[in-house]
Amino acid sequence: MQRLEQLSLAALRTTAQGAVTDRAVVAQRLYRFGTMPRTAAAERDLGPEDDPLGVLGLCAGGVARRRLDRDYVPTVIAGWCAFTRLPLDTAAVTTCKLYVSPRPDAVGEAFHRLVDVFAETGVRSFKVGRGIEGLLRPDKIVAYFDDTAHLDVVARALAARLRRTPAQGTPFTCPIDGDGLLSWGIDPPPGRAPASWRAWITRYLADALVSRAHETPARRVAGALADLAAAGVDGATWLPGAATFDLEIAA
Amino acid sequence: MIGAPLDLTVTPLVLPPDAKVLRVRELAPRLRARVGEDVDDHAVVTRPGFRITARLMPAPLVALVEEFRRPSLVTDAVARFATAHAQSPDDTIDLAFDALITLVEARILVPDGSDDLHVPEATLAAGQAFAGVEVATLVRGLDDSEVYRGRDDDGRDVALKIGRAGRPEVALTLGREANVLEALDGRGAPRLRAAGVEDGRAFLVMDWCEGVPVAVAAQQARAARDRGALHRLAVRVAEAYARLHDRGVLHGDVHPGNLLVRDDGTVVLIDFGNARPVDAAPGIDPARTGIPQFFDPAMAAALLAGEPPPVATVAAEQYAVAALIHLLVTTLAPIDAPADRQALLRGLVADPLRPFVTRGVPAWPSLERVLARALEKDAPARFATTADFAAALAAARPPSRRGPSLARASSRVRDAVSATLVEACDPRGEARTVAHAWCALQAAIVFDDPVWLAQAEVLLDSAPADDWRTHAVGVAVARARSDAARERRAAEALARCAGGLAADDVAAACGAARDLVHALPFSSGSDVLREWLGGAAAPPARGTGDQPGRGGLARVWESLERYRATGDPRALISATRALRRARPRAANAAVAAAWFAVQQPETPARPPFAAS
Repeated sequence: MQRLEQLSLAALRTTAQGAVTDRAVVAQRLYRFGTMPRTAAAERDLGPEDDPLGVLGLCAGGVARRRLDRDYVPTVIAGWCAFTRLPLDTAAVTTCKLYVSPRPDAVGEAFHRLVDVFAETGVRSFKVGRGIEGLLRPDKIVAYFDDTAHLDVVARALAARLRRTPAQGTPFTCPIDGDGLLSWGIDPPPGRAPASWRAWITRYLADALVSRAHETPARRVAGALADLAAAGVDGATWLPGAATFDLEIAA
Repeated sequence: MIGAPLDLTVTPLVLPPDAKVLRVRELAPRLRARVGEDVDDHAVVTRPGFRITARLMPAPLVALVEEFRRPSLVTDAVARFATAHAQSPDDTIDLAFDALITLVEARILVPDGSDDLHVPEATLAAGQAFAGVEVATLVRGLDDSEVYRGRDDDGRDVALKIGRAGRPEVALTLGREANVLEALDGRGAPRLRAAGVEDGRAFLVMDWCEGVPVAVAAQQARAARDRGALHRLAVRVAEAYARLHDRGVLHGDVHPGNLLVRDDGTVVLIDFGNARPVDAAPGIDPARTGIPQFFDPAMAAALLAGEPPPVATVAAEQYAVAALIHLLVTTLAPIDAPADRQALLRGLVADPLRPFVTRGVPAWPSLERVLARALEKDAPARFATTADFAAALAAARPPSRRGPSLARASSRVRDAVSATLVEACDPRGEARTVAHAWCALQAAIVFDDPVWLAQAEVLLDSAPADDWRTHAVGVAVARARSDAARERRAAEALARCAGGLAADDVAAACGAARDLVHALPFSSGSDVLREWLGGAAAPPARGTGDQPGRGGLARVWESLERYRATGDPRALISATRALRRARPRAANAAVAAAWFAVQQPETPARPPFAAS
C-alpha cells in the first residue's frame, strides 16, 4: 500500500473514532488531516502573518520572486498566494491539478526548485499556502493544468528536481511517487459544489461516517469505503469514476 | 533633528494628519509581542516614510498629543488637556515637557506650516534621468533621502541614493558614505560608481546588490531547522564586519536592515552614512546614533546619564554585531527589548545575558559562550578584535542534532509512553480521557506528527464537557491546528467551567491558563484567558500537575522548571534521572507527560491533570 493510501485510510479511521455528528465538522477534520502541528518552534522559525513569504523566497530580492516576476503575475487570495502566467489565457479550462507536498522544513528549498520547473515547463497557474497555516497544510502547493499530459511532464520534471525532498503527503489524492510528495486530482465539473476535489471527497466521506454514527468505528470506515466504491471512486488512487460527480452531496 | 532653534512659546505645533496613533491592542500580534504584555493602555505613534522610531506612550500623554490635532501652542494644548482631565496645568507641563520635546525632535509634533507636515513623496519618475542614471523604481523614500533602482549609461543596474532638497545634513552623510565606499572599492560593500551634487541635491550611484535582507536569510535557515546554515550565516556576518574593521572603518549603524545576503551566501554591508574611523581619539561623538537594541552598554549608560554618546570603538561595534547575531539565531535581542527606551537602556547597562533555553530557544552552548563574551558589559572583557570574535564563532559549531526518540528513554519509561499512546488510540473508548488527548498532542509536537494531532482532537470528543481540563487541552489542540475560532471558544469554555470551582481547582485552572497565555501571548484564546485571569480571584500558580515536594514526578517538574529558568544542563539531567525513577509509582499518562516535557524542555507545558 502506498503512503498516500495509508494516510487517507488513517484519516478515515481516526475521524471515525470521534463522537462528533456535525457533518461540517467531520468533513473539516478529514479535509485538514495531515496538517502539521503549529508549535512554538514553528511560530518562532516561520514567523507570523506574511513573514513565511521570506522562507519561500518571495520577499523583495528573493530568488523565487525574481524568477516569478519574469513570467507570472501574483495575486493574494484568502489563505493563498496565487501566480498566473503571462500572457493570461482566459480561455483555458482546468481539468486536473497537481499537489506538491514537501514537509514545512523543506518547503523553502523545494519551492525555489519548483518555481524553476514551473517556469520552464509553462505551468499556467499555481498557488502556495499563505502564512504559517498555509505552509503547515498538506496541500500547500497546487498547480492547475488543461490536460493530464502536461501534468505528467511537469510531475516528471519535479520528481527529478525534488528527489530527496521529505514529503508530507496530501490525503485523498492520487499518488504520483511513492512517498506522497507529488499527487494529483480532478475537480468536479464547473458549477458543482463543493468546487474542489478534496472538499468534495471529504464532504462525501463525512456524510458516510455521520450516517453511521451509532456503529463501531470499524463498521463506519467499512461503510464509508463501500459508499465510495459505489460512487465509482477508486479507494487506492482516490480518483473519481465517470459518474462520481453526478451524485448529490448534502449541503 | 531641527535645523534652527525653535521657540515653543510662539510656535504652534501640530500632529500631522499622517501620524498614526495606534493603541497597543490594535497592533498586529507580531508588534504586540515586541511591545510587551503590560502596556495595553499605551499607544504607539508613528509616521510612515519618516526616519523615526515608533514611540510608545502612556494613555495620558496620548491624550495630550491628540490636543495637537489642531495647531496649538504647547501652553494652549496643556491648558485644554488639564481642564478636560481636572489637572493642574503647571503639573501637567512639568510632567510632560520632556516627552513633548522628544516628540518635536522626532518630528511627530511639527511646527504648523513647516515642510515636515507633509508625507514625503517620490521626487523622480520612472524613466527620468538623474546623475546619468535612468530611474526605474523607488526602493525607499524617507523624509531626508530617497533610494531608486535604475540603470547607468553603461547598462549596469545601480542604486541611486539622493538627499532631498533643503536637507543639507544629508549631503554630509552621503559625502561620508562616498568616501567609505571608495576606500572599500566594492569589497564587502556596493561599488561606488559616482557621487556629487546635481540640482542642489547630493547623490551617490552604487552597484545594485541583488539579495535578501539578512533577517530573511536567517529565517530561511531557521525554517529549514538547519543550524549549520544558521552558523555559516552568523560567521559570514561577523567576518564581514571583521574585514571592515581591518580596513580601518566602523560601520556605525549595525542592524538587520543594513546587511544583504546574495544568492551565493556572500554578505554585503550597506548604508555607510554613519561610518567612523576605527582609530578616532577617545572622547564624545554627539552625532553618533543607531538603533537602541544594538547600542553597547557604554553608549546606553551615557544616554541614560543624559551625556553625549562616547566615540564608537571596535569593541562597541563587536557588541552590536554579537547582538545582531543573537537576534538572527534566536529571533530575540540579547536583552529583552522593552518598548520604553529608558527601560531598554537600563537593561543594556545592567541586565545579564540569559541562556537560550530560558527564553524558549533550544540550547547551543558553544555559540552562547562566544556571544556571551562578545556581549560582555565591560569592553575589555570582549574579544580583542572582531576577527577574533569571528574565529571563535566559526569554531562554535551547532551541537549534533539529537531528535527525540522513544528508544532513548529507559525501557520502563518507553513502555509507559508507548502504553499511553496505544491506550489513546483504543477505539473502544474506555481509556479516552483528557490525559490521553494531552499526551497525543505532545506526541504530535515532539514527533512533528499530524496523525497524533488529529488523534488528540478526536480524543477530546469523549472528554467531559463540564471539566475545565477538557477545554484547557482544547485550547492547546485548536492552537496546534491553527484554528483560531475553536481556540477562542475553548478558552471561553475554560473560563466558564473554572468560574464555579473550589479555590484549589481554580488555582490549578489559573495555572493552566497562564501556561497557555505564556506559550502564545497574543492568540485570540490567550486574549480571552488573560481577561479572565485578570478577574479571577485565585492566587497565582504556574503549572497544574503535581505539587512540588510530593516526590516521584514532582522532581521531574521541579528539575525542568529549574532548567527553563537557568539553562543549567545539570537540571535537565536531574529531570531525566527523576523520570526514570518515578515510573513504578506513577500512571502511564503522567509518565508519558513527563517524558514529553523532558524531550521538549524549551516548551513549558505542564499537563492539566495530576502527575504524581
